[in-house]
Amino acid sequence: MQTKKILVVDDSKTALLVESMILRKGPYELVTASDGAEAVEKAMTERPDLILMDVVMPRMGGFEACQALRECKDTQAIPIILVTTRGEAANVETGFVSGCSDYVTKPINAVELLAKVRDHLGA
Amino acid sequence: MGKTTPDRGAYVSRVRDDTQRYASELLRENQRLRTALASATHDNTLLREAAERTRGEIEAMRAGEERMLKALDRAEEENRRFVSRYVEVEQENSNLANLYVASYRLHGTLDRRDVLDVIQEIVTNLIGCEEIAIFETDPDGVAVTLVRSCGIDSGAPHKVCLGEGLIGRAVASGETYVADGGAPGPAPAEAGLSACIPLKLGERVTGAIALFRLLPQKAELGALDRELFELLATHAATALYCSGLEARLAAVGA
Repeated sequence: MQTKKILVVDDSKTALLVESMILRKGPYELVTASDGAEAVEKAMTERPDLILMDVVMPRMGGFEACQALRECKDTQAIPIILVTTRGEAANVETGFVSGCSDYVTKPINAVELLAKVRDHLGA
Repeated sequence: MGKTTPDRGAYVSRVRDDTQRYASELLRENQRLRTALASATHDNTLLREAAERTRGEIEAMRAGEERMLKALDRAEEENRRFVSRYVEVEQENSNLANLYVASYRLHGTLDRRDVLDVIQEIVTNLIGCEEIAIFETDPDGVAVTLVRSCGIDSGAPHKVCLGEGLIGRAVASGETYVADGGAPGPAPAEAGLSACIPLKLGERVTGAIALFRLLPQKAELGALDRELFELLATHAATALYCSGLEARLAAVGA
């Protein structure tokens, strides 16, 4: 089975570490970025199979990065799961409008995250 | 008695012959029917036996089907237990990972600002609280002073005397306070306080972390949160203390 590549984006090293530890349980190769701008760059060069991205980040936030990724032909088909601190409907709606495929809320539930990742990767 | 005429004799003879032939045919037919009956009876017996066997086989198959359905039920039940156990184990692993990450991050730096950042990140990302205030005990030990706050619009209390209010009482007692809805009325500045974790070096309380509003999707504080509180109580205190020592050493060196 081919290893899927996931780009994990979060400005918080604590969150990044937690997310990485959860995803390492699966057959995934992980690439990390610490803000939206770096995520867009790495998505172009690394061509991940899925992007897990925080919403609130310096330089470029998750919504903005999501829009940028959707506007680019090379990255528009990559599933994006947003990690949102606030799970209210309005916030979730903004995420979907910006082009995200799914979302999870903090604190992250490992079982839920792995299930959503598997669902979007089909593995 | 008169002499039998030839016609009459022939008639009698013909009748006798016909009767004999008829009787013979009847006997043959009777024999054929007997044979047919015996054959039918035999066939019937065979069919009965076959039907009996088939009935037995059907019953055996029904019993087998019932056994298989029961086995399927057991397998499904076992499967449900496995799934449930998998979720439990996954949750336990995740909890342990969170505790590891918290500890790893707290002791990964000697910079005071970084330590405060990490405490804030742990509270936001691992506990799910968006309003936090971090206090340190004053040198005279009678009050705690705010050193970092985040997300509190109205402002956290700047200084809290030991024994006063929920935060002051938690610091004075060294016992973690967790709101359960039945707490005595908090002071206005403590409205919405969800938990207060005294920071301890051994038995000495060196400060406190006050958690106010939880994230909207976080319904309540659970068992893992309480484990994280215990970890924060000692590890955050140690990390802050070490960062203070490092800063003093750096100042002496300078």
